[in-house]
Amino acid sequence: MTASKVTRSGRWVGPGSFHAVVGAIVVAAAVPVLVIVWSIVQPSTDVWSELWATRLPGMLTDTATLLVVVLGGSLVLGTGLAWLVTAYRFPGHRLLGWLLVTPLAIPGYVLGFVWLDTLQDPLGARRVRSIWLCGLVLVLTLYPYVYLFARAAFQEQSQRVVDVARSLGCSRIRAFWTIVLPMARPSLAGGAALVGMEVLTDVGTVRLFNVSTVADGVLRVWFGTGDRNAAAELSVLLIGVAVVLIAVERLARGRAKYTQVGDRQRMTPVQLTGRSAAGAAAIGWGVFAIAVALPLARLVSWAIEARHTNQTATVAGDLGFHLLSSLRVAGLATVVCLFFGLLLAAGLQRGRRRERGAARLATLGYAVPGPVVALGVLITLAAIDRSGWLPDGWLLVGSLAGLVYALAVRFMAVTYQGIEASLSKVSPSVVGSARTLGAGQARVAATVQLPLAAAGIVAAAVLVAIDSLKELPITLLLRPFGTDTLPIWVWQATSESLWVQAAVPSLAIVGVGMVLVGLLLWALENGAEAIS
Amino acid sequence: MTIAASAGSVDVIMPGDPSNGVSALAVAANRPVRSAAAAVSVTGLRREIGGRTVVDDATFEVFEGELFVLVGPSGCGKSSLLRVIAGLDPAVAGSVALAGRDISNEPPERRRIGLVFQDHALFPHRRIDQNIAFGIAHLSKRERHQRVNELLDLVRLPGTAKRYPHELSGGEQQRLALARALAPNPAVVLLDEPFASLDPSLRDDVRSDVVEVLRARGAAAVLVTHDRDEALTLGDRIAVMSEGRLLHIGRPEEVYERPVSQFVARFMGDASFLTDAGTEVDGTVAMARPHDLSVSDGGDDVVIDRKYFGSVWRYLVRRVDGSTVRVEQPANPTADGLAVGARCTVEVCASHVLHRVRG
Repeated sequence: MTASKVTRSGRWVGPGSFHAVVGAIVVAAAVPVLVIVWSIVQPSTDVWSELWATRLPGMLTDTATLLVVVLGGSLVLGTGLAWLVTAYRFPGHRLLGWLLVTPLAIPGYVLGFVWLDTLQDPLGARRVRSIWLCGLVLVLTLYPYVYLFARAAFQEQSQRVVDVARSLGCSRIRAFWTIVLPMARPSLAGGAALVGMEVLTDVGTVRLFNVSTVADGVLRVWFGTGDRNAAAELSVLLIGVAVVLIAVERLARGRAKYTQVGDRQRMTPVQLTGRSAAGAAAIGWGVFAIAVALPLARLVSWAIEARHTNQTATVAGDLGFHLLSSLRVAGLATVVCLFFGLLLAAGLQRGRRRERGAARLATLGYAVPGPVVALGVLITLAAIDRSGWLPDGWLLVGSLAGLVYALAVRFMAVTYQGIEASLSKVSPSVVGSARTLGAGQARVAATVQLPLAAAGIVAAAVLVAIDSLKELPITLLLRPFGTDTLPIWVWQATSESLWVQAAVPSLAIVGVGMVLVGLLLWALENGAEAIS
Repeated sequence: MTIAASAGSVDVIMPGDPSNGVSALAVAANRPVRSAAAAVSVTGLRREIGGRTVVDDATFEVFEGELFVLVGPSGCGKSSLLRVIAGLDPAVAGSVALAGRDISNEPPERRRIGLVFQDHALFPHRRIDQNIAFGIAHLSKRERHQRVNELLDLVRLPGTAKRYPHELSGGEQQRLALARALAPNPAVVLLDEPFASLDPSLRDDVRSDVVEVLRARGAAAVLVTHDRDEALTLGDRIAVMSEGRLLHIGRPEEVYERPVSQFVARFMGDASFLTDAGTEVDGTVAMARPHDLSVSDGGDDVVIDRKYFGSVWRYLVRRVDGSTVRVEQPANPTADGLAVGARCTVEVCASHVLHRVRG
């Protein structure tokens, strides 16, 4: 233990072998992404150039349109609802504040097929499959990301800043636009970045509505032609879009700061009465009805029908079998992300340039859409399988380990950043006090740091669990034979427009998701920061 | 009983004396000597929160160029009063007028009142010039630019226009907050504990800077503080507030030397009440500040504690009748102070006339 020491921030930096472990995690997390980026250097294949000539322009327009629609819609809806429940008081505002997070438990491909079927009669089979409706469905399932971030930002803002603005001649409404909203911008951008990533990742919802995005293209090329290079090069486009999104926000932010110092006087909400109170409640409950209540009612009625007509199982097995598969995959992914996230947070000290670089490398996967991660992992694992390093008969491609690995590459950033943020809020002087009172590093970690950071860590883990539970593209590409999760069941049923069959697994996803959202809300109430 | 002897000739000043000032009745009497117009008049203001009265019948005037200090223990309603004047919170009764114009029903953005808070409440996402220019958006670009530079010079922050608030030190941020409040030429500036968040070593400098700037602009100002020394040194006039009521309005020396009640007397500084001095005339007692008394060696009183401040000694003395008094005595280069336990005699200083307050 000669090399171990306590750093200035009170964080533990381990001996040499520990550094090696952390280094290995960083490499393992970054390789699948770098493999894809590397593919652009290889010459294009025929499929690729043909794509460029035929379908690619359409894919790009669809992706861009969908991004703009969903980002805009989520920002308006998420921010508006967050402002409604923090700045105003009306009957039920508290309950509504919680319920408006629940769409997080409903995957876009579930809400998609429910509304697709519901609107098919009034709109007609052709018009219903539009990019606009697809965008609307994604907005209704993704706005909670913006909502959570915006609500946290509004709650943190000081009433006094608004007071000063008003004394300088600003009306309430103008103060919202010139002060409140700009100050919340980093949080809104954080939420929007998550939404953008989910849009780029989505394959289930866009397929339902016949929207051909780049992510959908990657899957089609892969399944249709098996041309790895073409799929990989197409994936680079997706990474490019993600990088541009992130860079734009960084540049726009510049030197300005958005946090206020000093003791804050929280916002004093305005009490609404009469018609305005009814209006506010109607907006909130309306969104909840469209995004959650009505779709759930529809699913339940389909599920009952499925029971009567014996459609509650697939060839692979019954509901119990699929549910177990899903829980196993999501549970393993969460545990792995949590474990390695903790190791990374313990091993990488904040602030140093080299370690910041390593942290960025390790969390690269989160800025990369799911299909791309799946492809990168597939290429990496295939290379390892071919290399002959593994014992005879062992194959990583198509194994549970491979699938969990890919999920970890995609989602480890969530746990790492959540743990890191929670730990950095634990004051170094508290850690120092514990050490001088005779507690060793391990005891301080177990009895001081982890309990204080617990709520934040739980929130991060729950987000990973929700994401892996709903996850479709990675599971679709990498699942081992016989591991059919709930989303796969939904995907297969909805591909054939068998809504009734899709209802049972959808309800199961939403049910487990709701439990997890409940956990998330508990953690947020207990001091966890919205994940940044 | 030496005190009785010397206090026997005390010229008693009664509370209610017009020169003394009692709440609303005495406002007119407190008008400063110069004949200025009232920039702000607050009349019978009352604020309730959840059925509890936090400001009760607040009445006072602030004149042009005057720095009016509201002082009181925390939770006495002084900040609430400020918020009502600014129009941020509603009043149940009473009115606020600026230069004779009733603004009680105006929203805050139309009141022409500047605000400075303890936490500065700067807009962190706007540059320094954008912070200052926030309230003068209606001016032309050139006028705005000119006003911003003029104010930056005034608060001694020249050349910082393009920087961000977080790049300034605490004292500089406070001056920026003041510049921003002054930009629209408000009729009055309200300052809520503006120095409380500053480091004590900075506080004196920032205080004099702020007062200097306010004087330079000739703006009327209402400053809220819980610090009695700040109130005494800064205020042209001060108002002592407790449990929502303004107890005493007057010039600092009036409030300190001739308080209207024992509460005001104690709140504004150390005060001893001499029950034996011309006892209980009309239910009043004589109040002595530590510097009104002197102590000499030998006698029936006992020194029970002492503190040395370099220039003065402060003694806590138990008197024969069991009461304790505080005495401040200039340090003497040729004699050490009295020891704890020493026998002594407390007297009223020859030239001091004790003020009497109601018991």
